[in-house]
Amino acid sequence: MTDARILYPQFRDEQSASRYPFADSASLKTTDGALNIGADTFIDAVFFPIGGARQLYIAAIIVSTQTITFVVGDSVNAALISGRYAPNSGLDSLDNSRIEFYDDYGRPAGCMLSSQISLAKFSGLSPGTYTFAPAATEFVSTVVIPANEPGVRAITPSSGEFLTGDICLIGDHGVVLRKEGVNVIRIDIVGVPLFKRALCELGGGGLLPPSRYLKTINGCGPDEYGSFTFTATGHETPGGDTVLRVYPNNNALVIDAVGRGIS
Amino acid sequence: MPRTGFYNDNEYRAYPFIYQIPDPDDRLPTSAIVDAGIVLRLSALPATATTYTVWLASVTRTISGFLFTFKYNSDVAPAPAATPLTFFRHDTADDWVIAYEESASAACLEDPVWSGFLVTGPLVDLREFLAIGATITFLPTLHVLEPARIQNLQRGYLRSISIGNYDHMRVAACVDPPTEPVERAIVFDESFKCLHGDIRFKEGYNCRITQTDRTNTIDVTAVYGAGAKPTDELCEHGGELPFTAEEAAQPTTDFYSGGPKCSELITTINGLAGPTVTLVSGIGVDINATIDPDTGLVVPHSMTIKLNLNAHANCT
Repeated sequence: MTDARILYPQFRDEQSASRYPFADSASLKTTDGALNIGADTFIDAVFFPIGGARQLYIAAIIVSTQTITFVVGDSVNAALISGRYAPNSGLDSLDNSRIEFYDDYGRPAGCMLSSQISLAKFSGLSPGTYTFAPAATEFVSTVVIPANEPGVRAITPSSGEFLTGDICLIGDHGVVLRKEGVNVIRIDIVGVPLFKRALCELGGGGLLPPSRYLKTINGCGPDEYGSFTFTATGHETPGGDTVLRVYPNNNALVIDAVGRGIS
Repeated sequence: MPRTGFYNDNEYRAYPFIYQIPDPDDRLPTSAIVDAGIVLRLSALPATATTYTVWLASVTRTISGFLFTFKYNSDVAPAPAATPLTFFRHDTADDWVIAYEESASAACLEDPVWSGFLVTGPLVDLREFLAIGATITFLPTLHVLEPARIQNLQRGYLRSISIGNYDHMRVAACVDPPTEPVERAIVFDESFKCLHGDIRFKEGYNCRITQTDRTNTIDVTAVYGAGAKPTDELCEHGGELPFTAEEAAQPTTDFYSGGPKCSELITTINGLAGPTVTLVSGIGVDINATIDPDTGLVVPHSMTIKLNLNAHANCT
C-alpha cells in the first residue's frame, strides 16, 4: 500500500504539491539565492493586468514589519501590479484565501491563492526587498489573461480621480457642453450672464439667491437704457406750471415744492 | 502512463468550486459541473468592493434540460441586487458541453453585467433526484467558485460618456422672505447620452482646448475670443446658450433662464444709479411710508408722496 495514491485529489490538494502556477522551469529562488518561494506556497493564480500580459513573474517580495507585498511584473515593467497581505489578517477563511492584486490606479489585476501556513515562511524574513529574475518566477501562460488597452481606459481630471465606467461631463459655472455632430462635444465658455454670484463674502460654499431687479415703479418700466425718470408736471394740464420740483442732488432725489410765502 | 483528462478529474472532485467538507444535505453531484469561468464586468461590483465570491445558486430541471443559475456578492453591504447568470444544458446533449452566457445588460449600453462559460458533465445522477419542474437551491457558501476562475473588470475601462449641463439659474419667485437657492438639476441631452467610440471635443466660444500627446493630457481653458468666432447665437439671447437644439427661450423674456433683458431693468432714477437712491422731501412735500387706511398698518415697500402746503406758508 506504500504506492497508494488518491486517484482524484481535490484541485487545491493536487496543486499544493506542484510548481503550478509557476512555469516548470522556474527555480523560485531570488537572484542571490537567499530565498526560495517553494513549490507548495501558491496553489493557483489568475492575472489580468490592463496593458501588460507578457511573461508575468514575481519581480520582488517586499517584507516589512506589518505586511508582505508581492510585486508582479512583465517583460516591460517590473512593477506592473502588486498584492499584499498582513500576516495576522487570517487568510484561511473560505472567501479570503487569496491575495488580491491591483495596478497603480487601483484597478483589480488578479489574485494568487495560498494559505496562512504556506505564507508563514515570509513572516520570518528580515525586512527588505527580495528580487527575482523573470525566469525564476515566471507564471504559466494559462493563469495570465491578456487585457490590452484599446481606446481610452479612463479619464483623470487634474484633481486626481480615476474615472471609469459610464461617466458624465457636466457644464457648470458658465460652461455649456453641447452636441455638435456625431460624437462631437462642443464646449462653450460664456459665463452666466444673469444672477450667478458665488457667496464669497460669506465664507463661500453656496450661492446668493438670484437678484430680483427693479423692473417697474407703479407699473412703469425704464427706457431702453434702463433709465427711469420722475417728472414734475401740472396736475390738470401736463406740462403746465407746477410748484412741484424733482431734481437730483448728489446721490439723492429731491422732491420739493417751490413758491413765495404769503403773509 | 496514460492519465485521465482534466474534465474526467473534475468529474470526481469539487472543482471548479472550492472543496469543503461534504454536506450530507448537498445532493449536487460533482460530475454535473466540471469547469467554469466568470467575467465580472464593469457594472458588476460596486466601486468600493474589494472581495467578491461567485456561487452556484440553484439548479432547475425543465422539460428540455437543466438551468444552472449563478450569483455573486461582494464585501459591500447592503449588497446591490445582482443580476443572475443562467446556463442551460439540454437534456439530450452530450457530456462535456460548453455553454457561454451573458447576463442582462447594464443601463447605459448593451454591455452585460457579467458573463461566463460552464462545462457540464454527465447528468445521470442529477436526473435521479431532480424531477422535471423541481428546483434545488444552495446557500451562498456551499458551491463557491474558485477565485482564480473569475476575472474582475471592475473599474477596468471607460465605457461611455454622457453630456449634461447644470440647469440655467432661474429667476426666483418674488416672495418674502426670499427663497433659498436650490440645487439645480442636471439637464441631459437625451439624444447625446452614452457616447462611445471615437469622441471629439470641439472649441466653442471663448474656449481653448490643448492636447498634449506626450503627457496624455487634454487641457480646456477659458480664453476671451478663442475658439469659435462669435455669431448671432452668442448675443441674441443675452449671452445665454441653449443646452440642446430643441431648447426654446422663455417666451416672456427671450432668455433661456427666464431672466429679464437689460432694457427691462431700472438701472437709474433721474440719472442716479444705485445701489441706494434716497428720496428727499423738500419744503411742502411729505414722503412717508404708506399707511393702509383700513388697517392703519404700514404697507411694505410703498411710499406716499404728497404736497403739504401748510408747511410752505402761512395763508391768511
